[in-house]
Amino acid sequence: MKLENTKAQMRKGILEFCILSILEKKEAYPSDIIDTLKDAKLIVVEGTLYPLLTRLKNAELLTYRWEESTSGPPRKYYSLTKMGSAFLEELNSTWSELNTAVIKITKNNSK
Amino acid sequence: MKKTLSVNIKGINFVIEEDAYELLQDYLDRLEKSLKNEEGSQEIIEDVELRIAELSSSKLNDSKTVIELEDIKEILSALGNPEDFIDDTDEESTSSSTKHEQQTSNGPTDKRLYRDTDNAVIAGVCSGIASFFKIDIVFIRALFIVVFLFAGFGIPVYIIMWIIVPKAKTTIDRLRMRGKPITVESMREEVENAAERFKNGSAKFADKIRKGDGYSNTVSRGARFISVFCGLGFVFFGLIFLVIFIIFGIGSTEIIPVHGEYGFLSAAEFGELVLSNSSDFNLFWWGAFVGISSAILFALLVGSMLIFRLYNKWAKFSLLGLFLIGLTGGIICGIVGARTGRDFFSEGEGYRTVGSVKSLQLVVIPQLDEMSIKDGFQVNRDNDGFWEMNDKFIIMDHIKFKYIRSNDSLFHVRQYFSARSYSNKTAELKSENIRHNANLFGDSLLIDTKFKFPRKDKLRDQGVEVIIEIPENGKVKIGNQIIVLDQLNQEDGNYNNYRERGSMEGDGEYYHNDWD
Repeated sequence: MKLENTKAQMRKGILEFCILSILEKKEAYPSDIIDTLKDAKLIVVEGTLYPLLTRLKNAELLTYRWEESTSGPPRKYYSLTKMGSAFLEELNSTWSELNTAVIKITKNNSK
Repeated sequence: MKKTLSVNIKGINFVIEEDAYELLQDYLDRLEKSLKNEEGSQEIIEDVELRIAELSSSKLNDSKTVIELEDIKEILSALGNPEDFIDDTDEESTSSSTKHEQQTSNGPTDKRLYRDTDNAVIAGVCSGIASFFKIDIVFIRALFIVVFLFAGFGIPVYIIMWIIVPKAKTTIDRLRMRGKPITVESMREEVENAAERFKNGSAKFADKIRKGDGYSNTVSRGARFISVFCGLGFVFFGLIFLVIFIIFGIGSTEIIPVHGEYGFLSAAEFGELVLSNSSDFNLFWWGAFVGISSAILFALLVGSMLIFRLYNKWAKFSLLGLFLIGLTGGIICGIVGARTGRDFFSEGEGYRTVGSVKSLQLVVIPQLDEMSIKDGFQVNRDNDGFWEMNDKFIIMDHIKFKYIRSNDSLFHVRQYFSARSYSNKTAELKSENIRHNANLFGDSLLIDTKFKFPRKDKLRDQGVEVIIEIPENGKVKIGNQIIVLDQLNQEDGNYNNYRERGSMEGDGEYYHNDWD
């Protein structure tokens, strides 16, 4: 059991949840999402985001539109689909359940 | 001094140092290699290129116009190792997740039906279905042709599929088109996975998010299983009704057993004998054809939608259209049916006096062959005898007999004819068209065992009764029965109150007190 593996697993599960949460408020293009995730120290390298976005899009949780940029190549603006919103809602409730559970358990153990 | 190259990344031109270009190219090759098992890898690579282009252009300004090796190094380190893009760490940690990983690497489970226009003859419907089920396309085409030959049913099916099945446009579509097929085995696997998840209970969430492709959660997998199962049911019954419909409806295979060399009576011929006229017949026939065929198409379509997950607006429009067409057909049949039913509303009747004779005994002698039609055919009515018919006439048997007390010392014989129609008057006219011979010769009553009426009168409950009034101490000999008045205990002459009665079949057999 490697510490790095466990850490990566914990992060990975939450990553999709966070991407959906970011897009819940407003549509964004990958750089926006990367900045937010980097600020929160959730990702170390940007590359992991792209397969995730594609998977989420193929699962029809996300959709995107192209927008021309004045400073560079055109940007893909991602937003949640109806399915994505429903999915996020479920994740939200599961997350709060898990959060409560983890806090409860770790508190009990530290007493 | 360094050599530079001009490259185009996503529509933007960059001037890039040669070693920087080589590093970049190597990076993209590694990325492609590491993503080769990933669904939509081309798209991911494009996204990464897009990001590289974006970061590159942010490095440039008025004084700096060339992308240098250091820039690319910086950009690539921000992006991370291509090998780390897909996090496979859980593959070695637990055995249960290994199973899931294998499942996802087999190809997308998210399988959809698309039209495969690359391998199309017309619009790629058959080739799409073939790749959905991973069957050789020849079988699907053969099936369509067989169904097409049977009453042209393949044509509307093909056109509907053409409309509602989307064309495989993108690589993702094509991947999905060839994704994991829905077979009995894969369905079982789905169910087992679902059961396992339920068992895992709270581990469900962790399981679901650990697995990159696990968006179809337990609930939707269960629902998917049920919907495919229901879909197969719809298609199965749709096809069974289609076969029945083709055999008995469109084809002229005859369903009502008919004895004799002319075989069987078809549904169409029976309809023609019951429905009032040819326009009613045509209306009913088309109504039934349209109604039943759209109901069958409806069932097949609902089944296909459930199996192939075709929940698009075209599919819904087609369903609505089929429903409305079917409803129209049903209403037409209902109207014609009601009209035909109305033609059974009133009963009409007529009498004919056969004659009177003074005797101690009246002998009834059946005349068997008077009515037979040599160029017609016979229709079996349950166990009740036969109809015979040709172009002009219908011949039936089952002559009813009623016995009452005579008011004088003579035998009196009458015939009573009845038929039904929408009014008393028209029913009476139909009853007058019934032909049945009964004649007295001395003390013998010669009676046809069958009666006939014009085929154009249709089947309207036509019937013949023979009423015999028996004087005191008189007796009637009919078949091996002797009917004596003393037995009758008949006190009034009310025709509606016959206690003694019988019937004669086409073969001359007489059954006393056995009417129905």
